[in-house]
Amino acid sequence: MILDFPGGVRPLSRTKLGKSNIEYISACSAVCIKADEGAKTVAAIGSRVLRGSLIGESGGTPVYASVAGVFRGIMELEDNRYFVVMNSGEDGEEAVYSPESRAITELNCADICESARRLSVVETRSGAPLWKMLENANGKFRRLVIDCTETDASGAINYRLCIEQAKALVGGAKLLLQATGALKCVFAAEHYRNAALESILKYANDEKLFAIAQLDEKYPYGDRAIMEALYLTTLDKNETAFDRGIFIVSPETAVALYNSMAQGMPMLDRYITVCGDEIAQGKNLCVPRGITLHDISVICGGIKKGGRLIENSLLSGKLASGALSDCTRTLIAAKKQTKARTECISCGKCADACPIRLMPLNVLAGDIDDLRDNCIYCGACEFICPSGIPLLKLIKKRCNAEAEQ
Amino acid sequence: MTKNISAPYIHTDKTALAKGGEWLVALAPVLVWSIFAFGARVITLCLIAALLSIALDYTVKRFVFKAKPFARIDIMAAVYGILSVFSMPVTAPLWIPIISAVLVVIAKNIRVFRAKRLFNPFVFSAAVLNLCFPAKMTAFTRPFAYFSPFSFSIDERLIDGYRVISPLQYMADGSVYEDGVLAQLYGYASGNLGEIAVAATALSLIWLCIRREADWKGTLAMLVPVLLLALVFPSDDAESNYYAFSVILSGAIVFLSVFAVNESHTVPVTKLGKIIFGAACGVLIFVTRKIGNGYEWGYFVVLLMNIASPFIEKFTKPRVLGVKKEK
Ligand code: SF4
Ligand code: SF4
Repeated sequence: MILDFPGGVRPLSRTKLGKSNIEYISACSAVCIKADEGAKTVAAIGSRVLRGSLIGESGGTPVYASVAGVFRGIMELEDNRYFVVMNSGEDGEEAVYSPESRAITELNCADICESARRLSVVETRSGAPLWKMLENANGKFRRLVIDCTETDASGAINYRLCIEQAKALVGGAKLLLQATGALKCVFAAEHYRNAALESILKYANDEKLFAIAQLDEKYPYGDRAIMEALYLTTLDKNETAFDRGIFIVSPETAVALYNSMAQGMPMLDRYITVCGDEIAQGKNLCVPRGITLHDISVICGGIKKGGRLIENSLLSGKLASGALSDCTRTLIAAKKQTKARTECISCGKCADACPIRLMPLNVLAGDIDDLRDNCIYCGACEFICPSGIPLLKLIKKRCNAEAEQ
Repeated sequence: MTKNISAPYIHTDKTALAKGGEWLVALAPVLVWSIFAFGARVITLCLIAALLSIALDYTVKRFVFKAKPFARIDIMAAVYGILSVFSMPVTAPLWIPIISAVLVVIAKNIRVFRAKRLFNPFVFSAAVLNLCFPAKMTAFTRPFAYFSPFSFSIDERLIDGYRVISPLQYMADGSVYEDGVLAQLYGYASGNLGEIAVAATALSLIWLCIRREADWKGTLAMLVPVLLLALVFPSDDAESNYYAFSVILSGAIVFLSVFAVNESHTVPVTKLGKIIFGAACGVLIFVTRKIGNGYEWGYFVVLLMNIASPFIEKFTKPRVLGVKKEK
């Protein structure tokens, strides 16, 4: 059965990258790994570091160099602070760690949580450190959901991960089940991606533990949409799936957790799709964490003039800047599309597309009570509007104008 | 960061301007049947109304409302013009479509509450014309009696030679149209240009639904109550089934249920609202027909519901997800 959620828009086209293998990239000119306010450096500034050596600590999580090179300390770039490691392009040596020796079933929640912290594993849907999400998780969760949907219809990385890293994915899922105390793990993916689900099922053959869910080919997928589709429950405003006992993670998180624990190596790589009309060659990539956008565009043959990299989704994503962030799973090179604006024809398509069941066209008449409180700025309404009305922009503008008063 | 760049970076390629095209295609089956049944005069009437509506609409937008950056030619104006012709008899003198074009443009540009149209343009035109020129608007003639497409107004004696009583007028006398339901379904009965072609109208609906311009639920919501009510309150003169189908197929019911209920500006935006709108129209049309001696009240009913539609919309606003109902 294909599961559905209210609202959402169907993509104009499917991704063309579903068949291209993940390319593993280890060399780049520099990496910038996000640091928070209280971040400390551990390695000496100016010293040579190996790939995988400890360079600092940020928010209680150790930070490792994801390429070999010269450590430059913490730098400030465009309002953000980063640990910077410069690399001259060569593949460096890797630091050596010892793998986890215990079997999965011997590990308890605290062990896995501690490993996730030590190995600096992040949850790539939200960009938060996994260990913080797992803290005291034991028994709090009923279900683990591995969200294999893409952030945008043009992305394919989650699909490729399911196919190429199925073993690690299922291993990671088992670890997370162990850590969260959830009874069952659900793999959810768009319905036309049967190949992904089948390849997972090869490893996840325990019917009591694993289930698959085929979701409709609609976007945007978020916690809310997944809860609607899988469990037919509506999250209240300001409520997260966590509050309902559902632990949702990206497949990349599970893969990273498993691989890191199996090899003892911290999470140094990110899996992303780079695609879009404005880039020379779309690719599925495995790149060092914190790789700069410049390096990415060089790897993909350069961005065409006027194109810009958008994070995660063409519907609602922000312009990417600086370095790859921990919650970016798809980078899309696109131009701002302008559509001739005509008057609203009251067709109601925006209301149909809204996943929150708002009436976006009300913004035109100045009736924004519902919109201000509930809009998640997903952009579906503006995407679908045949009159080219910049609904999302108007909603943001009106709501901000009111907030300032 | 550049201010004027913001999500979404992608839009559907469907535009509101294309809507006019979809509707023109939708009108084609009805138009073809109408020309087949009533001859080339239909073309003249439609051309006058369509071209004049477009021209007037553009003029009004450009010079009265001073549309920015500039007014666009709106094909929907032509669609409304043609639809207004569809509710005239073929014998209408050529000044009638001129008036209807003016009325269409007026109704199209009256905006009130929430930038909504107050009245459905072509229904407005039909209603006003029926009020002002009842004799001209009910001079029905036998189909396949072709009139000259160019004579400005048709001689009364010529009309009388072919004059017939329309199914709706039969019903006013308490009897029913005798030539069978099928004649009415395919459009061999007499009546207004577009309204007789029920089967062709169904084709239009199918096209509009495929192109997502129409919602068949609203249409059905209008037809079903009429059918049920006609079964419950039959006429003495006929078999109840026969009567029920005659009621639906006569007059403007199907025509309005397809074209008026799906005119997005003047019906509620919400899905439930559309159904309520359709059902209310259906019930009111049946009631007015029963008590209102055979006149086509459908137009006035639709106008009434147009006025009510912003309120229906308010009441049928979907509950916002994740927000508890206020007590
Ligand atoms: S941007 Fe807001 S109003 Fe528009 S579809 Fe998304 S949630 Fe609804
Ligand atoms: S989608 Fe656009 S044209 Fe249609 S009702 Fe919404 S704002 Fe109006």
